Amino acid sequence: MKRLISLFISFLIQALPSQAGPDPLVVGMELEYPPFEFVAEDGTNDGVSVKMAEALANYLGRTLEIQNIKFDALITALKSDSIDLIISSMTATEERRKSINFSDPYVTTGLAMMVPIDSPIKGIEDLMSGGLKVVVKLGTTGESFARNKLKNATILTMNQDPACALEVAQKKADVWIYDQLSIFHHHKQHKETTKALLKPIREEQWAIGLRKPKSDEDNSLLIQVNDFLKNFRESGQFEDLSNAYLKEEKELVRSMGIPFIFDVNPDQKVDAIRGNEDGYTGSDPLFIIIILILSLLTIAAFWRLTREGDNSIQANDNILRNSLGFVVLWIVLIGVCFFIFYSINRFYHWNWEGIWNRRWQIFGGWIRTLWISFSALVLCIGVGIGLVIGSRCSFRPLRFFCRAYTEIVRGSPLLVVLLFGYYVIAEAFNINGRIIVGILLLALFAGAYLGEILRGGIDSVGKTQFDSARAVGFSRFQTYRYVIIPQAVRRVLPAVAGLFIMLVKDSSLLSVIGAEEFTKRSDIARAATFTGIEGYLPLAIGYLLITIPLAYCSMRLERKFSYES
Amino acid sequence: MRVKISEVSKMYGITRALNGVDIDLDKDISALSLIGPSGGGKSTLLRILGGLEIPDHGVVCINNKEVNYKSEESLLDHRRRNGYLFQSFNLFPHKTAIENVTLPLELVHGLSSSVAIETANHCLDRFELIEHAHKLPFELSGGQQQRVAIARAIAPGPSLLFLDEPTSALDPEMTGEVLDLIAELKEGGQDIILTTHEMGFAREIADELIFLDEGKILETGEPKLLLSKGVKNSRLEKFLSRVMRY
Repeated sequence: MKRLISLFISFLIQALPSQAGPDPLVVGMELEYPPFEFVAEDGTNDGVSVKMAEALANYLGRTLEIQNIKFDALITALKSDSIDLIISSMTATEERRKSINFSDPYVTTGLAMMVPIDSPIKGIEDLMSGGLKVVVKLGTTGESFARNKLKNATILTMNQDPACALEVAQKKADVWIYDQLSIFHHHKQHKETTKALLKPIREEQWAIGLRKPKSDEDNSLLIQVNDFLKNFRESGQFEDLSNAYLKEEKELVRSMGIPFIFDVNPDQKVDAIRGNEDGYTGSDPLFIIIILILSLLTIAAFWRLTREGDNSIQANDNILRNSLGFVVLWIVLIGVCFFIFYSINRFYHWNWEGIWNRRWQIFGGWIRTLWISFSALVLCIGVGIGLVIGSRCSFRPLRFFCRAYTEIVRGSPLLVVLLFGYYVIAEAFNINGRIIVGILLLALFAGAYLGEILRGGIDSVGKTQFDSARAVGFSRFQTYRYVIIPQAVRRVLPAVAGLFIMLVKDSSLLSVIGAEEFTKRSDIARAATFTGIEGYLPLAIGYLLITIPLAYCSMRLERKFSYES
Repeated sequence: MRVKISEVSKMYGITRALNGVDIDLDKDISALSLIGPSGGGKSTLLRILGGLEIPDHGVVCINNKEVNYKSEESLLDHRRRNGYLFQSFNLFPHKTAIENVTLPLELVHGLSSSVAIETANHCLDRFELIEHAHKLPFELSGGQQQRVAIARAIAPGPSLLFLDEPTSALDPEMTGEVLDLIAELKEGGQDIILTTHEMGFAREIADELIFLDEGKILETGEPKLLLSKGVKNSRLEKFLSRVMRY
């Protein structure tokens, strides 16, 4: 025991920040953007930005730690102090400047376009015609360009580059707006189906992102970073990097008469995109009333749920001990919440305005998630019942199919099912409605689980009930309808409720195929306003507003159907 | 009732439950009891007679009518005409006592719901269960549950009533109340085929006994003759000496 304690203490000591030496420089980047930042074949981080980060850490005399963070979460990570810098090919826009600081620019690039091979689009003028379907990556300048300049277009946001490229390659979108280099690279992957229009439709500059210091913090890091960039450029190291990583692109672009990305004139300021200024739109009684009603319902359901089976005071209850326990519990809970809030609040610039201004959009997403989940739920009941019947019927091929289907679908991750189902299967059958396909895939996925749950429920009812039902003369259908199913349903209710709650939460994955449900709408708002926790908090609450009432309904049903003490 | 069974066999996997059962009861009897040790084939034979189990071979005629095991429809018809009672009651646990009785009446026998309720009330009243009519099975004692099960079985007026060890899951006091009820049913003219371990009861109620062991009928006869001392069959003797010892 003593050994264990000393071991534990030694771990604790190691876990504490060591005082020796300066803190490492923590740089955040999304390692999905070759050749700037990516993971090499041998598993090491590589790319222009990685080399720059290494040189910068060296320049500052600190060790380097690279954290791989999703692009649209980088700013949140920076604001909440989990990283020191962003070096992730990030464009310095006016909108982002509201949230973070930027160093001097180190790259000038432009937005380019990828279009299907037979597209009539030739330049920016053709984008203004309206009725176009534009795909962009969430949180990129391509997205803000499309939202601000292309008022007549339908905008589709995706979380990943390859998905954007596929959208264009499969002609589900008319154009993808992204930076030149990415367009160039992705075009190479889809040479047969796409065209790259590299002439910049708008110039932009990349810079290193830094946290806005709170009033009492010093701003020395920004000055140091700018000194480093100047030094790096003057010593010709940007040229070396571009020769190492971007030789082909450099030659191609220069041959087209377009300046290469590192040919930056740091003094030249590119005009920033003017966002449609989100003025604070003030109070909105209707919205507040809706949210209030939903919250009250949920809190009431939550109260009843947590007190289930707890409503009678038992004789052996020690009232004093219980009350004391509750006091301690509440002190701990409130204390922990306060501590978390306090430590975040030390660096975090709260900005609720952007989220509040987009409340109806987010609420629309919430409504959509609601009906997506419930349609999927209804359909999945059909799939589940079908699988149960199929796996019990006397036609052996059908039985085999149902068993195989269940095992394969149950064993695959939903993400894979969605991506494969939408981009491969639905594409093959030429079905194009994102939400419809999403609902179908969700239902097919959850149906496999439900089928197994139902099968277990029916098996658990037991042979004696079959005997009894046959003995009173019930037909096979009547046996199931009046005897087996009602008992099975009661037995599987808790498991089914669990599955349905999972289904509601899993519907958030529909965002990977571009369905704009609750999660996606929040992501869009969060990315557009460069907020972080302000976007996640409503998301968490929004899902609870669905799942807790659902759990409550299940509890009521369980009670209603209970036939044993 | 007339029962004719010829060459009936039944295998469960590799276990031979019935091995060529033959009997021809061409007498006018109203209660037939199958006796014998556990695993001797009583329950299997009863389930075959009741149309719950399909024999591998053989022919069964009840009241000069052959049971057609080939057709699910005619089996269903056979089951609908007769009543069946299980050792472990097998009430529908999600239905109240009265619903257990009315459900088959409405669904199988096509009675209107008001007539079904009236019939059920009459049966439950007869078995002194009327105050429990709206309770769920788990709220009833074992004896009460078995009486509800009997009510369910006889409510449609079955031509034959099959009872599969109706009292072996009950304690002695409840056994008494259920056995009284069965005796009363017989008095009322109900034809019954049952399996039982209660030798005293079998002697009282049955007009004819069949002794089954190892899947075969070893003895048949009137209870007084079969259960008296000095029986010829050594297995029956051994069986009786064991069940009658205490």
